[in-house]
Amino acid sequence: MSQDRLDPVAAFAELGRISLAENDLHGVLDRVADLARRTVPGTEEASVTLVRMGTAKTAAYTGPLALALDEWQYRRGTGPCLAAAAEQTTVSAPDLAGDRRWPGWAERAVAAGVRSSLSVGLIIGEQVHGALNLYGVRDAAFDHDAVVLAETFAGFAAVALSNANLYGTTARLARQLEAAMASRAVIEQAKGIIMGSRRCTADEAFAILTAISQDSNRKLRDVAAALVAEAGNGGDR
Amino acid sequence: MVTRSEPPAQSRPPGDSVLTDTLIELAGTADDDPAVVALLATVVQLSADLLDPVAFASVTRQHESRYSTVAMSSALALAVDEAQYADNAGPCLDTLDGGAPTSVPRIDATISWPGFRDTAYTLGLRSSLSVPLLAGRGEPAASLNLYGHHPDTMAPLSAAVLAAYDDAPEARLSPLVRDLCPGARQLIAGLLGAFAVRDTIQQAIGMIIASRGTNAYLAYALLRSQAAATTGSLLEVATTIVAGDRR
Repeated sequence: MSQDRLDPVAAFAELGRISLAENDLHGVLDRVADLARRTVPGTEEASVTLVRMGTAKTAAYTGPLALALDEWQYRRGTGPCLAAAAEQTTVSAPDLAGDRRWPGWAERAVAAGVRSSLSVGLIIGEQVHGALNLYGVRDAAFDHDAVVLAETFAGFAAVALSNANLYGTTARLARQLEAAMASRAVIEQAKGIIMGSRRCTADEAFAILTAISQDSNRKLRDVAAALVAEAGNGGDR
Repeated sequence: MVTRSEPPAQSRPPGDSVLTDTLIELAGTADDDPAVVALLATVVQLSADLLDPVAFASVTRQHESRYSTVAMSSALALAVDEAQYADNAGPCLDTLDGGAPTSVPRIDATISWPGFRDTAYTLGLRSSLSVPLLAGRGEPAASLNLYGHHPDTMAPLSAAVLAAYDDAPEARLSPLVRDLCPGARQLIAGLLGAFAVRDTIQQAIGMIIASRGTNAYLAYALLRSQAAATTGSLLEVATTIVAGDRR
């Protein structure tokens, strides 16, 4: 059993402090798995399953045991992680040695030294579901209080994860829009230079600029910036 | 310096394109023109009055490294803005720094900006959209902050604004705009009109760069002084330069 236990209140506070600007979705998932392992009593290893477009994968795990037990489920298409993710519910298996719900998996888990598991479903986005998976090495490792704590933890984690998912999408779009806005001025200036020298319209100038970009295999913005710099230097000669 | 005076927001005649017209006029007005503040006040009031999903609106400007609210429709909007200034973090700051709109679809799920989230949530606000506004220089002169009570009604407005800034083709933008309230359609038309003004001014700057062998900064200064010596409108001077060069 891990010794670096964490008080639940401290864990929830830490979840709230995760900086999305400094962590991508996988960074947040790693923190969630680690905090869950240290917070929920009875947990030996923890993992997070993500299911996108019907495909499941383990996006974060605290040890190889959790990864191996997760991936066995994905290969066979059955197991407590998948059930929790699909049904958005809590699936508890306090006695894996006697559990017959997922033929083959429980035997493998017991052989690996795992006696209990607890999976809590997560809704992360419209297209993404998942589960927080906790594995214990004792029979009935997760008592009622542990289940309630895991579900509370999963609730906090789902908000952090859905926000990270949203933040990632929004941040990518924002960067794209910022780049487009920054490029626009210099492209228009380059069009103006071409319009002045060729006595052509703005559309014709843009066509010329695009052709130069394609012929030289350089980005439109780079071609425009070079043209503006060159024209600006012309007065110094 | 041009000292044209603009009529205050309250005395502008009502019309079905007043928000559009104001945004376009702002884009053709030099950033340091005193008229900018009056135009921003008009945009804020019209946004709060005409945009159905919006409960409150405000405008943030940046002077050196300090941010301040220069116009607002309600003291509640000011409180949300000031929570962001206190933390030096929030969507309106990101909008001014990055020059792109910042949509917060669900304020309650935001952990990036705790001061903004807590203040906005306490005041009953659930969704926000900050939109960069262009003045004559062609860079974001201010952030228009739109705060709403209902994420579901803010979402279509945000989607249309983001698409407009993404230079979306007509075929993608039209379906997003079609079902918006008339005020929101005015906002989108105003943003697109402002982009067209920006394009004309930047083209004129390009022509000045080529003819004078100068840089963009000095070319803008020349354009600005020409405007000050005539009608005060950057757009008019830029349009004359662009048209004149093709004659």
